[in-house]
Amino acid sequence: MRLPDGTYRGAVSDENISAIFSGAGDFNRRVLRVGSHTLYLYAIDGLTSGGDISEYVVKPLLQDTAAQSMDLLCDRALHSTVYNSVAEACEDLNTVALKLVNGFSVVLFGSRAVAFEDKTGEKRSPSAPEVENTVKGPKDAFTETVRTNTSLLRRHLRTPALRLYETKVGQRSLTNVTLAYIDGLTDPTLVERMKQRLSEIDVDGLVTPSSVEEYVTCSRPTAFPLLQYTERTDRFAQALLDGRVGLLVDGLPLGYLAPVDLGWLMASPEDRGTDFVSASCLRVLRYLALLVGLFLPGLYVAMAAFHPEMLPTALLQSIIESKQSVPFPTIFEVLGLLIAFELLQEASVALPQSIGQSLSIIGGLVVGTAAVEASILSPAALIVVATAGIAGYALPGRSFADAIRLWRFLLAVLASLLGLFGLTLGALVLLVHLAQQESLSVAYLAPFSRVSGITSLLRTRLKNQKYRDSALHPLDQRNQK
Amino acid sequence: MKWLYLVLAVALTCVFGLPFREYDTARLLPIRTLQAAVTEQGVKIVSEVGEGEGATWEAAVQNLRDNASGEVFFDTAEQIILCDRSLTNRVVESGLLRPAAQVYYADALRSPEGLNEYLTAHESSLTVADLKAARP
Repeated sequence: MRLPDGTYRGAVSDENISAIFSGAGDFNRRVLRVGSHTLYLYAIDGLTSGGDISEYVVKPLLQDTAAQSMDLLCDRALHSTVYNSVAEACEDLNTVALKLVNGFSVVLFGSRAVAFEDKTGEKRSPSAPEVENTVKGPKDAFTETVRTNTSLLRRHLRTPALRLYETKVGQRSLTNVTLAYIDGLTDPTLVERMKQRLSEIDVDGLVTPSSVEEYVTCSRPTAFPLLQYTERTDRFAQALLDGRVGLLVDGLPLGYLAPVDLGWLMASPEDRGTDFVSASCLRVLRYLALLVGLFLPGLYVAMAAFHPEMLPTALLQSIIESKQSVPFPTIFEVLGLLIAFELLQEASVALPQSIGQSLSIIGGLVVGTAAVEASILSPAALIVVATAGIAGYALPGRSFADAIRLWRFLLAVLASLLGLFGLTLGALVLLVHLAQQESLSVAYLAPFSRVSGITSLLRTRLKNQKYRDSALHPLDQRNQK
Repeated sequence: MKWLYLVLAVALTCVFGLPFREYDTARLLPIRTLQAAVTEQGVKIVSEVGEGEGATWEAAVQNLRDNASGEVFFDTAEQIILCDRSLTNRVVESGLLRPAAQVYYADALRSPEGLNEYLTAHESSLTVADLKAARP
């Protein structure tokens, strides 16, 4: 009955439907007698509301004793007697199965089946964003339910041109995935390419964020994110208005955006929450943090171990004094601290928030201070690694910050092998690597490839943002008059 | 495949070395002000990290290195006081000091204590680079 492609084939009958869900403890089957006719009602407990089924499906059906034949009873249920707003005839066994797992109750009228939408109201309500919190922005973040998310999106974008293409991905998870875009604005090529990628995904389940990201981006060998994610509905809506496409995946409280480039990853939701002067200053600070987070440990290793003559003598003297009784060379000191920093971060993530905070305090302050006092570490190295770590936290996207963490480590290793030459070599490799990356044919470094690239560092005045980003090839170039 | 070539190139560069060396930072003894004078034994050099004496400039530098408790680091020298103009060519030819180091001429060696601060407040317009450029 179940075919290799995950679909179900066979006659729409009580035996087949029961067989599909045999052994499922939450599968409910009830026999109904309406006059001389026998009907079967199916529903999955937890996905459907028992009260709604009783009130809006069972009650009107049992009261309809006037129907002379099963076909008439079925037609009347579909078009008149049953109160549900959504009632759909199921043409085949596979549709019946899909409707049941999507919160519908199904009534079998002989060989015909009708699905009534009776989804339960039990779902998490939208709450404030936890990661991308802003002072002034809206507080409705995405939830795990895709329909809630689409409704939140509709409230931000009232345009009827908002298109929500729905499909299922994952042969066994049958995850509902919604592709969102604005008709007449978004480049149709982007939409088609995204639809094609979704249709080409052939996996059992699409239930984790990484599976979405890797399969949708064709699993490129890079640590840098090729899909941007956001938990903010306003950010998602703004991206659609910019001409990008969005993905909403059932079960994930996130919205994915494509294409993505470095400029978008460095933009914060706060940028549009403050005036353009403050936002521009903060954005410059963020780029500075990117450079510090990426290069500082490597630069320190290269300068201290290979090119001390490049340091001001007073600074060199301070570094020398701080290292007088430290038994490890600068290279091992910095690499060891970088590893310790990553360990501390991983340990904090795995623990509950309250314990995680304690761990950060113990690890960062107590152990760090004790290590310096015991002359196991030099204060200079500790300051350098901690500064780089803090700078990494200033980056708005977690995935992007993780990629920077990895490259920070690689650059420090190269600097410890070859000094500034190694650091320069690593920086060039990184630049080439980034220049090679594309997200839906948009270059990763697109904001900096234009003559006006430097303005990407700033948040220009909204009234001057008259045109949409040409890299997205929007059908409607003009953003405002 | 191109990544493999890149890794190989980096590894080869590491193995065969580059024209710079690695320092043990903790052992560095950076010099800020260096003084050199001609004595009966040859040349005497004086710095904050110690003194050296020898028949030639090179021998005096080596003597300073041998006597020091760590690794004498000349690349940070900001000033050099020459107590004999005949030392000028030797200093320039040695390439020991960075081109931006300021050159002073004096009649006798001074106490190194506080000398750097004094000379920083009284900058010289003559540098090692100037001397190098003026050579025939």
